[in-house]
Amino acid sequence: MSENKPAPCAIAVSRLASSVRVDLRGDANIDAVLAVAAAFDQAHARAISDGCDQVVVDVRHLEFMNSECFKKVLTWIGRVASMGPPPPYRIRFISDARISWQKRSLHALESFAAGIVSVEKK
Amino acid sequence: MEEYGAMSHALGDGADGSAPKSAPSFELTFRPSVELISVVRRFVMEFYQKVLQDHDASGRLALATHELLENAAKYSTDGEAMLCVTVDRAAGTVLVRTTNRATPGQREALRTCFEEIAAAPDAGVLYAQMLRRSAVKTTGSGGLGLARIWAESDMALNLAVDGDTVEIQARGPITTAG
Repeated sequence: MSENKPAPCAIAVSRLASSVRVDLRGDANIDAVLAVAAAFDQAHARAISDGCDQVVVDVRHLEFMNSECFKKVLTWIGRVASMGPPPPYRIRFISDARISWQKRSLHALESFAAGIVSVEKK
Repeated sequence: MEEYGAMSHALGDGADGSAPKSAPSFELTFRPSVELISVVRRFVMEFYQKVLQDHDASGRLALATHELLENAAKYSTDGEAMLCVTVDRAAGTVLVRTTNRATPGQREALRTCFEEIAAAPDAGVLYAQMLRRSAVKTTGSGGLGLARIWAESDMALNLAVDGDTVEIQARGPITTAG
């Protein structure tokens, strides 16, 4: 059974050229909600303070994201939207097309916030 | 027993979720910890992959299972939840059920969510509405998880309340292997 245990959510926020980068890995379940929200707050603050034009969110190694974490993504998007138009920066997700939830949830985000969110499939 | 919900598919079996005895199925009753829910999601995904023909459908069903189990765990008054998964090859459907005991306030909140689901014209409209609402609300999920199951997992949802016990059913179409 231990082999079947998903890795806990690991999050890293960093600067890369004119972008802020958020790496999410593992399992974004109910235990990860506060950390996920804090990471988006940190990415937002750095993007604004450093005048970055985009935040890149790499979810290629994120096995799952539950709805409470997904809600934190939406709250973040709402915050960015409220500062525009135009938005102060754009959010680009890098996804793995083989992971089912990413295809559907990120497509929903892209449709919901077309001027802010884009999704790159790798 | 009171029932609430919206069915988005024409389904071939009984309202009680019964399926032929040969249908691949399993039932778990446990005290779901956060870690255990993720373990069960992986197990369920592997189960679906054995039974279903496509990986994408397995992912959709795993999402529904995880969301329903987290919901049941969060609102269970005695810490226990039951998960039951039944694949009905003849009808081409899968049924995921979670059952838990809930407080009157939680039962009322669920009724409100399901009334909203029943009133929505379709899953896409409700999901879009929930995404907008979630983007401006800073607290509470307000039914986002259920709307996500309906829209992303393509599963119709139903709520049954019997005394202090709530059962949520998610049922959707599948293509089975073999």
